[in-house]
Amino acid sequence: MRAWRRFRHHPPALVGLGIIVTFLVLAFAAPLISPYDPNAQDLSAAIQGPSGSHWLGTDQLGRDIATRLMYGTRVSLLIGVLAVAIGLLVGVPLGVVAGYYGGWADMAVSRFADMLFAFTSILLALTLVAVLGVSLQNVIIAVGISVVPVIVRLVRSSVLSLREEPFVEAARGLGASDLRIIVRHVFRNALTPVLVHATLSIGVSILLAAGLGFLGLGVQSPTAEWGTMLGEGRQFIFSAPHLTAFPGIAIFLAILAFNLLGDGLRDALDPRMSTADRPTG
Amino acid sequence: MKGTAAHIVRTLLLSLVTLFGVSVLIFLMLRVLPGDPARVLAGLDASAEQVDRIRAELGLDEPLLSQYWAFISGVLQGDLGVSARTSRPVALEIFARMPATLTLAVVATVIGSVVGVAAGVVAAVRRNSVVDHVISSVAMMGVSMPVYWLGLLLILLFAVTLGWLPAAGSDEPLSIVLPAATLGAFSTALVSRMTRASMLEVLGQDFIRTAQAKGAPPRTVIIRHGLRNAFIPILTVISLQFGALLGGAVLTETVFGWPGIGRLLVDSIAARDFAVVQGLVLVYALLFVLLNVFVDVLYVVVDPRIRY
Repeated sequence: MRAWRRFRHHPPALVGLGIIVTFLVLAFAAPLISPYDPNAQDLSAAIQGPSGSHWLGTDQLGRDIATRLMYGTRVSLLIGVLAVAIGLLVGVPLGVVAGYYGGWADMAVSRFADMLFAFTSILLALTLVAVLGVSLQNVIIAVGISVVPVIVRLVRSSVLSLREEPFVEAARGLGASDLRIIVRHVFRNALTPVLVHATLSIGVSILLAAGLGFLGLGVQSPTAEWGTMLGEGRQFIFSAPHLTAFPGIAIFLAILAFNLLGDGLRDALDPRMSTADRPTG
Repeated sequence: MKGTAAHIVRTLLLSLVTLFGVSVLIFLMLRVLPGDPARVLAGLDASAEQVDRIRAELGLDEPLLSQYWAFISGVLQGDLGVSARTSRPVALEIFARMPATLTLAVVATVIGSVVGVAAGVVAAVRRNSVVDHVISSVAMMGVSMPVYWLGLLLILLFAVTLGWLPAAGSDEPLSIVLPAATLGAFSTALVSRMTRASMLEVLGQDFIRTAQAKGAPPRTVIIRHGLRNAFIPILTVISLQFGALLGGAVLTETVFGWPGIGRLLVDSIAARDFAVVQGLVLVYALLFVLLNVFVDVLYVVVDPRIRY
């Protein structure tokens, strides 16, 4: 409850949350808000600037940009959430095992994480998509795998320090099994940094997926996806900058929102981790 | 010092393990995943003859282990295979593009370090002032900005509207300004956030108050007592950011038509020239691992308190 109070008094975090809620509403209510089909082409109305009938104008195929952005929100949020879910599903167990048991398990898991890190996230995602083929599913898998090493390292280091805590030793002394200690005592206390990081990772994943789309290796046309829209609009950058401007604003706002929310959650849930101001002296 | 040397040797050994892992991973990714690796490595436009030749060259009917052995012993001798697109050795292709990317990453890192540290220090010293709020807000926007979009915006403003700088290519000396600024923007924002946080931490310490009480001039207190002690986390971010920049260069180079290895990677993936992709992944991993070793050594040099 104290956390909620701190969160409530954190204006940037509330702004972030507000943007995310707005995006969610737009994503779900897109068919109610817009009279257009996101993929309906109307070549007679191609590349129009913003107007009363097309709020954000039309693209090179005469599709309504505002409608495509709203439907694109579904794709981007889906990728962001599912990619982070993959990252957590794979990364949390690996990190717990490495941090709790140490020794060879730690050695193996840490080298695996190092390896994925050495690939760097964009290279890993690009290569995976190139090998697996371009599709929404493969983009989610590729981005998800690139989230894994970050989560592994984070969970490992929190578990490593929690393992030595008196309450863990007490549980062990009482004869609790490893599984019980991990689930009840260690994991529960490692949850805060994981939650904060997962929030930030949603933004990073959306950014990465949009980057793949921009390079033409993400979700493929005609599906409306922000990065793909930006990439395709690029050739009209001089004559019709609004084709790239609006998708760019959407990507920027989404990432900004998750960054603000993540910062706010960190300050609210764990003031010790805070980078915010502290009284000095 | 003995402990330090042992630690560095250990780091080097672990790096070798990591590199070995990456080589296995990329090897398996291109061979075990669905599809005919000979066809994949030869490129989609290759004739049946070429595909057969590659299959024979790679010894694809042999067990995976001996295939890997042939692959890795080639790599260790600097043989990364032949590009399907240009028929030139992959090592040569990469080597030719490397200086462009390194130049871009170095300039972007310098921008990020200088501007980022300066902005972070000012924000920390003037905590909660208007200046601090402006710097912190701009930094927040900076870390949320898609690099390719920022690039396009900068092209629109400085190349198209104002006509001050070239929009793309690398023919003129000024060509590097926009790509480097684009690539450096994220680092600048990240470094300034880190610097601010780290400085706030240090400026709250007792020795800072002691220095102030002694009557040391504010500049001395901030730079010599503050920044010097806040520098380790900043340095970590800057060094690791350099690695991220090499990766981020993939997008920046595409936007600006900068002839580096990032664009080579995108072009090779588009052309399904997997020999080049494989080589690039190895080279990137090598750079990344070397960078981490460098950071490790740097810690010891910069902070005499750190001994392993």
